[in-house]
Amino acid sequence: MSRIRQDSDSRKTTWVFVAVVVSLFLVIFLAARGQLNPILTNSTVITALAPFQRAISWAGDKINGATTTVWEIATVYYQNKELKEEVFALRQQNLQAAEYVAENIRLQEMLNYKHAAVQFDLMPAKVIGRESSTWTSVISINRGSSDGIKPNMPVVTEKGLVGVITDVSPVASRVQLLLDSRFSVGTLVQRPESRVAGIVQGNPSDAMLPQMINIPRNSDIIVGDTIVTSGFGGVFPKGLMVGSVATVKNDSGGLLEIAYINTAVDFQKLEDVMIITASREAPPQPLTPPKQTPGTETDKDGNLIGGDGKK
Amino acid sequence: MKKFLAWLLFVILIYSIQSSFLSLVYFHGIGPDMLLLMTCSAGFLKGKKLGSFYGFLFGLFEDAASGTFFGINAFTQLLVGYLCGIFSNRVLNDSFGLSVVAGFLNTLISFVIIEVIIMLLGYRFDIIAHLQFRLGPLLCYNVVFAWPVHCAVKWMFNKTDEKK
Repeated sequence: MSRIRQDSDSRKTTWVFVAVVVSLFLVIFLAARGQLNPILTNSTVITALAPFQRAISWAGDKINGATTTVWEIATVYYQNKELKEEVFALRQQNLQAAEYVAENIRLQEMLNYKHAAVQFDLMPAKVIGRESSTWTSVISINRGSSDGIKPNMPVVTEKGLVGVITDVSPVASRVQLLLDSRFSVGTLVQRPESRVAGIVQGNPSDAMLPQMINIPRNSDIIVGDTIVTSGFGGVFPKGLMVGSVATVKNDSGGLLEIAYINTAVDFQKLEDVMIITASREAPPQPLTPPKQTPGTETDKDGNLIGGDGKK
Repeated sequence: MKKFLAWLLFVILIYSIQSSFLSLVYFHGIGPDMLLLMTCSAGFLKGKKLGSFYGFLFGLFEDAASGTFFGINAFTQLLVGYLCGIFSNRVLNDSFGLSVVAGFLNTLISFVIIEVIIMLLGYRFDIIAHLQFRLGPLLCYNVVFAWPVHCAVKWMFNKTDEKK
């Protein structure tokens, strides 16, 4: 009897269950299509949940903050190590970028000089070595005979004379600097009223201050005069900037004077140079009309412009 | 009434933890479904009748709280509660392995039912992506939380039954 009742109960439960399942299934579809609005609205539940969620969220944030802090403290050593490595890498990168900027400026200046100095055929070269001898000042450059470089070719920068090629190998050359005591070049004072000629050569006493010798005692050379190559001798073309007069002293013989020159080129910062592979006479400057007094200007035929003669 | 209020508070607390605290460890927006795990435990501990009833209520609450398709969780958890209830007197209720395996299987079943219903509602989606990014994390989380939730539900039943 009991088993029969149990079976009946079980069957009833199953039917109820199936009915609920089917009803729910229908509810889902009706609610999804908006045809059924549940009595227990979402907002009611959200309102009931809100204080709990807020409290738990606050606690969660605190716990998260605490664990993050602990984690950061635990990993600070490694983080510091990584950051140091990063700083090092960035410094290297920065240094490289600064190097590129400096190189760019140098090359730009060289290019400007190349455009300006149309009378020269210039070949750019990079300084690849510098001899550290006390008595001589010599650099090595990355151009050689395979590039058409020959001994006695002048070497310049956009600022002025650097030296002269002395030895040439197929891939590199050696340049004797203006500072070398074996070096000498014919020069003159650029100032039109002076034009005093002399020979600039390396100064064994002070390598950074070459001297201009063979200056007559009665010459009008003064401190600050610009010294350029004279073109005598055929090695160096005329007009290359050498430097400016720093001091003038009497020669020990008493008949001549010696001028000490501040070189135009900064030999401490020599990285890129140009070799003059060929030179020719500079083209004449285009003629420009002289400045005219305001109110008396004339046109190319000599007719007066403005004032009474205004056309 | 006291029992109902105690359970309501318990469900609110569990759901709040799920939505507000565990959201810190959600993976691709997926976290554990602790109410489903509670349904499993209720089914195993109280049989199919009460299991399905608890499942229905938990699901209904979840539907209202989460704003999903109304009735979808009530439907699936009703079935899950019933299914677990069938095995309530055939398995060892206190087993760690049982809660974990049941959590895994019921998550799978629930997921499949919901996906089918969503498809029947006319929505189209990439099944492979759902399996990868929804079912995978959900299974992992539910397996991890199955045993603690089972213990909590059992503790709650003991407390409420004692009061009774």
